[in-house]
Amino acid sequence: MNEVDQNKVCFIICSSDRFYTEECLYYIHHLNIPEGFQIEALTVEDAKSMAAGYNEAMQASDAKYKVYLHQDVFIVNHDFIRDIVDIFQRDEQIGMIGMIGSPKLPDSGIMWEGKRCGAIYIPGYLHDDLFRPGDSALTEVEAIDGLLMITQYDIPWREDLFDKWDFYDCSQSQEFIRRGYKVIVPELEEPWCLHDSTISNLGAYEGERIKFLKEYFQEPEKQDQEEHKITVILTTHNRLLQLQDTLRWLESVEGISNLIIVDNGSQDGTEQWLSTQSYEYLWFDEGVTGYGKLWNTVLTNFETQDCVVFLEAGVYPEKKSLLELEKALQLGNTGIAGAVSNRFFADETGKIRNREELTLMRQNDQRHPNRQLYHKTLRANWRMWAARRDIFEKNGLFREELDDPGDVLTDYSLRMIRKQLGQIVCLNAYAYEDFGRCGDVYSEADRWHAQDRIFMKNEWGMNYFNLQPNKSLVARIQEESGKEFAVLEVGCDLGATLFEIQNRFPKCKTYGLDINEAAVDIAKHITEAKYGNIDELRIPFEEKFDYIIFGDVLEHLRHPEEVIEMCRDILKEGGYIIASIPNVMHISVMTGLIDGRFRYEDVGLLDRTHIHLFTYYEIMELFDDKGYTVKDIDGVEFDISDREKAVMETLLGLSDQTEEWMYKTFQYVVKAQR
Amino acid sequence: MDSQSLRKQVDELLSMKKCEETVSLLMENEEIAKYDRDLLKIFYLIPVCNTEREAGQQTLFTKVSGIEELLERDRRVKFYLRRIAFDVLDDEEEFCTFCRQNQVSLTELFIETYCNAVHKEKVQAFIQRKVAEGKLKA
Repeated sequence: MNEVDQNKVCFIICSSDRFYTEECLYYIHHLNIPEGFQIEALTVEDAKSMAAGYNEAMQASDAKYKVYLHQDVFIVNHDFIRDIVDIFQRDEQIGMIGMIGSPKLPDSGIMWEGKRCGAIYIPGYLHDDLFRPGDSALTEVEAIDGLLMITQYDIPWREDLFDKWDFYDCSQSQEFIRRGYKVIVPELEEPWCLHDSTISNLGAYEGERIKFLKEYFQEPEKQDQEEHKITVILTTHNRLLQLQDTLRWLESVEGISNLIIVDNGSQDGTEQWLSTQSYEYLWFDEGVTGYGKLWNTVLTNFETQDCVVFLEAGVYPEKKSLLELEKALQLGNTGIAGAVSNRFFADETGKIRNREELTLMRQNDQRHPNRQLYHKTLRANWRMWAARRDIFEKNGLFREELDDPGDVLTDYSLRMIRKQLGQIVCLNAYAYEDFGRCGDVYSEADRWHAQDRIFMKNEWGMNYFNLQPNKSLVARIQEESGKEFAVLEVGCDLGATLFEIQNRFPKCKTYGLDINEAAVDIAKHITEAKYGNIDELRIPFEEKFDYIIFGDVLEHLRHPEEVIEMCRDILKEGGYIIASIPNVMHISVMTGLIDGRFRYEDVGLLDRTHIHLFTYYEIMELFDDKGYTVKDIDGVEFDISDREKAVMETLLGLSDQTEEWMYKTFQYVVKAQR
Repeated sequence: MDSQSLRKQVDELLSMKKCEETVSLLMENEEIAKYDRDLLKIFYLIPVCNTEREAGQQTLFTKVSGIEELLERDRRVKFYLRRIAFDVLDDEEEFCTFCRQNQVSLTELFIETYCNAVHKEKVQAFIQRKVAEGKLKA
């Protein structure tokens, strides 16, 4: 399909009765069409299934908005088009609108067995039926009725699963939710359509229902009986209290088949306590052991299930988190699934907070909506992650030369990426992390890092492994999540930021350029990445881009002005450069200068590889001189010391050209338009 | 009896214009009719026939020659009434001509309106206006 037509609405009718279809079209042709908009109507006949028919029509239309409806549904709201576009334009996270929906699907998956919201005319021979509106103007639902489904993004219908005429609607709702979109039912004073419902053919309904539950939910009645195949490897070191807390907590976590406790050389009585308990455990009695060897020892000496969860004492998974990880590992070639955590600090008595308090904390955490959702990642959080057991056959065991758990997992993850084995973060697998007590608890941590660094450098050709995306750059890409556009990241490193862009904008084409061949070798597995030095003013891509990203790169270039100028040729008209640039005027640098010091470091503001230094005015001039319009410039600030505050006050008194934020800003993030 | 046999018998009775027999057959086999989409629709048209008969009018089931014709007529009446209800009836004259040509009685129109139309008062007012204009037969 070519470019999406933003001002077009396509009505898609799966048709088996010519008269009903004509009547359905009659109402569509009586709708008011907002100025600048156009409509088209496609009828799908002789489809193999509803999902197959809808896929066929979806692919045939370039309309942004698509209305999938039954032939016996007549749209009676004359301003239907205006109203749906208005809802979609108000919130780009809304993926699909329905007329009737289930805020919470019953365990059976059968919508009408639970509470539904929405409004529709259902004139029957005996009654007129009108469902009552939901609790709010736009009620988020888990599923909408297939009689009328309106989308603003094209997501394939699951014809691979639903090859008949039922549950395609609930499935499509869940597909949108899986991708992070909202499915909503608007509150209506008057229904927008009439459904001339008749007797439904439910011959294949039960089979489709079971498929639906299997794909999207655990069927509750089977849940208790079903044997989950999850092994938890719980590691601890001198944290008896946290270990006991975590073990108590795990009693109510679902899905655990067996638990193996690994005591990594504790000297605080952990072993003595464990010997009085009935847990299966392993004590490294010769002292603290590096995690490469530790994890391998467990994997080779203990029987594990299909899903192996690695957990640290002091991490508290939510009730269903492990089941979510187990489920996530069933997705395609996923080998590792990571959890998301909300770090907290235990109170002064050393006790963890109660469950209700933690749950409330989670509910208030807007970063991770409570929905099934997966994000690709370069590496999971090592404090709680899960692996499919067969991944250890495909990707081998951990490297015993490495000790620090983060390094061990980084190495393992990079090997996975090279083998095209997937790693995801499961946003529904949530854990509370007692950060004050499960952070770097090992006194050996510094030595481990130093030794690992040498090994990793030899193995991977890199000093640093940038596994986290630069979210402040990604946040400045303000596009609809379903939009197709192209992004080039200069200095893409391993591709973490581009990976995050792919997560947020599934249709975005990402390209990476980096001067480090070893990094490109990894990044090319997740994006189109090439080796190249932007300072040579050449780009090895033919494309033009909507965005070019420089994440802490411009200060490393010999010719930043020429590079910014050259970008005009490879940016589309109206395209943007987004760049993060360290601020050399930061008060820590100024204070050092006053003390007579300008000490280069390995990383940070005075990174020894910085060739150009920038302040706010230099950044503005850089883009202004090359004909860009700076649309947005913002700063990242950190706390400053009392001495730095005092120096800043003095400096502010010496010039009327400077302001406080210019000294406090550590790094600028700028968005400039061509 | 299964729904296929019932359907066949109803079709034959309608072709012979035997209204009372059709009604009796459907009433006796209500449980079977309820699970057949078409027969259910015909079942719910029985009140139209009963009311017409009580008023001494020709009954609906004698105005058609079989199931297909009855369902097609019923569908068209229903569609017209809905178009009236939602202000999308483009050609009022076409509707009146259809009613006259197919001998659609006011009884049939009002019962259909009562059972099938939304905004019933608006539809009833429209029908009465057409009667007053002489476009529909009282």
